[in-house]
Formats: sequence, C-alpha cells, structure tokens
Amino acid sequence: MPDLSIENLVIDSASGRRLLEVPNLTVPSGGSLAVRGPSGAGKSTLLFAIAGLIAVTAGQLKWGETDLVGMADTARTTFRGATFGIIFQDHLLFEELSAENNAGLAALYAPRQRRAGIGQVARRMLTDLQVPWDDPRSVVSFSGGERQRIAVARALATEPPVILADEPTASLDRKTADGLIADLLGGAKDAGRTLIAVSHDPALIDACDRVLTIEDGRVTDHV
Amino acid sequence: MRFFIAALFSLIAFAAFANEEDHGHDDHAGEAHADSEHKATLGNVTLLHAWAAETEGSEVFVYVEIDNEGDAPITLLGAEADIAGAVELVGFQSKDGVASYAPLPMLPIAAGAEMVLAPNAVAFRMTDVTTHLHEGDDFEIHVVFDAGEVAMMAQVEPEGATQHSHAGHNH
Amino acid sequence: MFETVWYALPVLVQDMLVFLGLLVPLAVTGGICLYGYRVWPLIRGLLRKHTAISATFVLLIAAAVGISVGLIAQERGLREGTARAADKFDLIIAAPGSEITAMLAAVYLQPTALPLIDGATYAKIESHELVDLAAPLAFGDSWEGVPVVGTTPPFVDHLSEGLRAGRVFETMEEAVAGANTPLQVGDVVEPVHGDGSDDFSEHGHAYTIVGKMNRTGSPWDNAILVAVESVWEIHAMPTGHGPDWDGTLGGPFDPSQFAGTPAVLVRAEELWANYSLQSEFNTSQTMAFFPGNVLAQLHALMGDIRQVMSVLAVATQVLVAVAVLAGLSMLSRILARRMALLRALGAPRRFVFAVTWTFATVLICLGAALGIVFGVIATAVLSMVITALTDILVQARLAWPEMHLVAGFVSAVAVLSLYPAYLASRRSLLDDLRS
Repeated sequence: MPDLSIENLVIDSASGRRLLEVPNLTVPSGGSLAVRGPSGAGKSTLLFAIAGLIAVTAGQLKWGETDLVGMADTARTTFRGATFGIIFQDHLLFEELSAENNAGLAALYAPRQRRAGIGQVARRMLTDLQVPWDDPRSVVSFSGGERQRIAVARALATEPPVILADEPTASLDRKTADGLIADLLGGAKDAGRTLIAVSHDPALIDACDRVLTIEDGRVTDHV
Repeated sequence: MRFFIAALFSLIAFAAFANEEDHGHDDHAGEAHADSEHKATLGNVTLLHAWAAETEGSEVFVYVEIDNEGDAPITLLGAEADIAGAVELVGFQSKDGVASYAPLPMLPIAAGAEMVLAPNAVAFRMTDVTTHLHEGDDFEIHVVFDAGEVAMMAQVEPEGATQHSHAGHNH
Repeated sequence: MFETVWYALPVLVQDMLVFLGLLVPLAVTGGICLYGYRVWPLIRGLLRKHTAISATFVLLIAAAVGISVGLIAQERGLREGTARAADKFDLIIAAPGSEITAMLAAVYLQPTALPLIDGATYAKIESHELVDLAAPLAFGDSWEGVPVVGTTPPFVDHLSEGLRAGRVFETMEEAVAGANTPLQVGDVVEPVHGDGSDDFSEHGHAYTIVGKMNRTGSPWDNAILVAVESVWEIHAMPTGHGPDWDGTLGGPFDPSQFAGTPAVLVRAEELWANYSLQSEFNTSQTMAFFPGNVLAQLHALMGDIRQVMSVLAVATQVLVAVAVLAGLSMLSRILARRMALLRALGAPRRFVFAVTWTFATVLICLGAALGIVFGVIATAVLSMVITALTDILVQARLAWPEMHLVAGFVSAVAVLSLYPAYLASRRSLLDDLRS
C-alpha cells in the first residue's frame, strides 16, 4: 500500500490563476486525512490532483514510488483504476442504470477474472449500506441518501487501497452518516485502506487521524 | 398514364441508340485479316463472326450469324468445342418476368433466311470451360447442322460486349 | 480453384456468403473494439436516457436505407413487370421499322401509327406449318380513353386463358372487356376514332360487352377487344372475308379482302419454332421480334443506369450516415460527462471509445433494420401506384441485392463511426467532469 507524499505542489487554472499551494503533505498507507475549509478554497482541487485527475503546475505528487505528475495519461488511468475508489460530491451516478450496475460499474471494463469479484463486493456493499441491490429500477428514482450510498458502494467495489471522498456524508441523515463513517474508517483500520476525505462534517473530521485546513488555496492548519 | 410508359421507353430507346453508337464500327482501317478468320461456309450456308464475351465463369455463350443462301431449309443442331465440357443450343425466354435460357433441340433455318445468334436470343452455351478466355483470344468451334459440320474460329470480345467487333462488315 | 468452387455453389449460398462477407468489416471492427469489455448495460442505459435523440437518428438512417432499397427493388420490379406483361407476346411480326415502337404499340398499347402488313404476308404467316396461333392486332380506336383493339377470338383465349365472365365475342357487334375496365357484361360502348381527344369522330358503331377477361398484369387489362373484322368494317374497309363468308370471326382471311394489320401476334408451342419463325420472317417485308428479347436487351443496356442508381443509393446512404455521424459527434458531447466519469473512475480510453462506437453502431444497425421494413412498405406502395398508373402489374420485393447494399452500408458506417468514437475518447476529462 503506497504512502502519499506531496512537496511544493502548485496548481494553476488554465488562465494562470493560482488555485492551490501545498508545501508539504504526507499520508501514510492506512492513514486517514480530513480536508476542511470554506467552499471554493481549493479542497476539491486537491482531491482531484491526488486522484491524478487534474494537471499539476509544479511540485511533486507521489503515491509510493509512482509519480503522478510526470505520468502518461494511459498509465495514470490504469493506476487510478487500480488504486482509488472515488466518491464524488454530487454522486455522479449513471442515472439510467440500476443500483447494482452502478455499484459494479468497474466490472464492465475490468479484466474478465476480476468481474465476478467486483460484482460480489458491489452487492455486499449495497447490502451493508442498506440499498436494495436487486431493485431493477434505474437510480433516478432513488433518494439522495440512497444515491450517495450507491456512490460509496461503487468506490468500494473494486476494493481499492485508497478511498478519495468529496463530502461523502453530505446528503445522509445523521444515523446513516455515522454508519458510513464507521465503515470508511473501519475499512481503513482493518484492510489498511487509506482514506482522504473532503468534508464539513465534524463527526467525520474528528474521526480522521489528521486534519488539513485549506483557505483560499493555502494550507492554514495541519494537525 | 400512358405518357409515363412512353417517357420511360423513349429514355430506354435513347439509351439503346447511344449504346449503338458506342458499339458502332470502330475504325480499323488498314487492319488486315483473312476472311477465313471470321467466316466459314457449308454449302450455301455462310457463318460469320463467331464470338464470345470475356468472362471469369466456366459458362460461356458463343454467338454467330448464319445465313442460309440456299434453296432448301437447313437445321442447326448444335456445336462442339474442345475448350468446353459440353455445348448446347439454347434460346432466351422470359417466363413470369424472369429471363432464362432453355435448350433448343434444333433450329430450322428457312431457305434465304438469316439466323443471328446473339445475346438475349439464340446462343451456343458452353459449360465446363476450363480455359479462361481473355479479350483478343480465339478458339475453335464446330457448328453442327443436319447437313454436316463446319469448323470456325470464335473471337473473344470484351466483357459485356453485345456483338462482334466487326459486326456489320461484309467479308 | 476458388472460382470453380464459387461458381459451383448454389446461388442462394453465394448470396448469403456475399451478405456475410459484407458484414465482416462490422464484425472485425466490433470484435476489436469490444474485446474484453461489457458495454451492453451502458448502451441500454444510454438508449433509455437519450430515447428521443436515438429515435431521430434511427429514423433518419431508416429513411435513407428504406428509400434506397425501395428504389432498387422497384427498378427490378418494374423490369420484371414489363417483362411479365410481355409474356403472352411470344413473337410479334410487324412491318419493318423500330422494334421498340412496334413493341410499345402491340404489347403496351401505346398509340402509335404503324405501317400495315398486307394480306399476302399475313396469309404466309397464318399458314406456316410451325405457327400454332396467328392473330392480327388492329389498334386505333378507343372508348373513353380505353383502347379498342381488333383481333380474333383465339387471341382472347390465349391472352386471358379463359374468361372471368361471359364469353368471347362471336359477332361484329360484340366485345370483350379487360379486367381493369369499368365495364361489365351487358354494357354497351361506342368507340371513337383515335384516342378521342382531338378528333372526336364517332363511328356510329356500338359494341355490347359479352365477356370480361382475367387479369393479365399488362395494359391489356385496360382494353376492349373486338373482332378485327368489325374494326375494318367501321373504317369502311373490306372485312377480310370473301362474299360467301358465313360470319364466323377470325382466320383464315382472304388475302384479297385483307385490309392490313399493324402487327401480328405469332405463337408456336416450341421455343425453337419461335426462333425459327423469327429468322424466317425477318425479311425486307416484315420484321419479327420477341418482345421479351427486346426488353432483355433494353434491360441489359439499363444495367448501366441501374449501376448508377445503385451508386446513387449508396451515396445517399453514406451522406445520411455522415450527417448522422456529425450528429453523433454532437451526441458525444452530450455523453461527455458520463464518459469523463468513466475515465475518472479508472476506465481506459479504449472503453470510452468502445461505448461510443457501440452506441453509434447500434443506432445504425437499428436504423438499417427499420430501413428494410420501410423499404418493404415503400416498395409495396410504389408498386401499387405504378401498377395503377401503367396497368403493368409491378410486384417488387426486396431481395438479396438490397440486403447486400444494406450490409455494405452498415459495415461502411460502422467503420466511419470509429471517428466520433475517437473524438469522444480524446475529450478533456476534467472539463467534462466539472461541466
């Protein structure tokens, strides 16, 4: 399981505006990090950069020995698929697919021998998160909370070593949110899974090993 | 709506005319050839311009003009060719809108009559032709009548030809 | 070697193999694109999500395919229909001139002025030992636009193969009506000279309809057949028979009393005899031809036109396909967010490529399939219209050539679809994800 190490990371927008500066950040394998701060401060930008979804302007961003900055696109995609489970802020589900197909989406393009495993884990996750996996309806008809949990199940279905989550508890009620936090962090403890979560949720922030605060594109606090 | 048919056929007739021009007599002045290449006789019967169109298939149709200048009818029975497994005399027919060729057991040619074997009419159908015929090639064919048999050379015309390239010439 | 085997195959097998061969590019492209992926759940989802747009594309393609295959089938149907209409006309003998003009008059009843064959020549034809049926065909009069043709009772039997109602005319005041005329047994008609449009001259001769013919699928379905003797008589010509005539219609005619006929239908039982007769009556006085033969030659000449039509049909389809691909490129923008999401989640570029390509190809295949249905319908409707307009029974059906065209089209467009798929797989990931 790779550690995350960031040094002097700089990300500018296409127009040259500075979006984010992170002088130094390390997340050990199996650790958990909460990123907090006001809206538009650059939290999601950091998460996208860590996922290799956004071009880095300067600095270093390494997962173990893998340097995401200089990596070719195809290799980065492969790495992303193998390393991360990503939970997006607005779920980003395939509206026209069922819960099961959404959670098991990776099975569509994963190597043949992994397909069955992904499907199984996806169903188990849905069951754990109390979403009826055998409901054939498309997820359009599901509630916001259910959709969020399907997005979580999708992120976990490939059993990735790292979970990247953008406001994972935002649309959940307290009880479900607490359950999810326990799952995400429990997984981190049991399976040595790394969790990096952008969140406003004090319960999630408190539960993480470390907390990074970003304001206006700069790290203002790191505990 | 007769106008519709009339217009359709006028168009076709025009196409036919244009095509006639295309296939008209190529100028081949100075081209010397012995009559015997294109012509054969059996008594008062003259055979002229035997030809076939180039094809990739093993079925080849051979055509010829037969002129019975004698006083008695003569009956065409068929033909033979070394390059073919079999040759039969066939006639074009259209049944229920579908065109086909049917074997003809014989074909009497009246005294003074001319019988033109041509595409979509009467022809010798050679089957199991083993030699691939190319434009410009020629091959021997024996035409069989009740009165006897005559050998002549048939010329291979381009694929899709509708007549012998010297058709209309009097040899 | 290959040729020998190929030509030895049954035509149906050849057609099927050509069809499958034309689909090979589709299969190969699909195989390469989809190898290792399961795209169907996403494709089904996309079709559900973008039903209206998908349906529009499918209908566009279907319309193009339908029109193309319909036209090609129609052309063949028309060819077969015109040939079938000439089926009963084994051999036509007319005065020397244009075979096509004589055929138009004799087989398709187009009003034309033809020179006449005289009595001596007719007698020679009628008495020839190989001739089983010889009938004069005298055109020129009409009743309310319906041609009135003078001929003999045996020709009516030959043409109609028995009557639908009534009997064949037995006197100069009786007539038999074609199947599509509005006439019934018992009706009385009074023909006029010509087609009745310019020179409205009535002959003052009335016919009573005594029989109605079966459908022949030819313009003769819209004709009235009468005794040739009556046509001669109302034009103040000899009736073809001598003074001691007992009134029995038809041949043999007296050559000295024979007023002339523009065309003679000749029939021999055997095909060889027909050809023998043709050769014998191709003289300086007469021209003998097989309408089926003339049509076949014309159709052979039209082969070029047909090829042009096929090329145009394919060109039309390709143009529509290009328009559809342009549409699909736009659609790839609509799909962009989903495709970006797939890539963000770790799906390879090739998977995005495969999904876009498959989506396009599914629309094309659905369109082509629906197009065949459209083609069948268009063909049926066009056939009905042409049959109604010309009285030539046209029964066009889709056949292998059209299937080959559709298969080639589907394959070509499937290969072209690689381009929008490529574009989709090259889009900027994050822009699409955040949009």
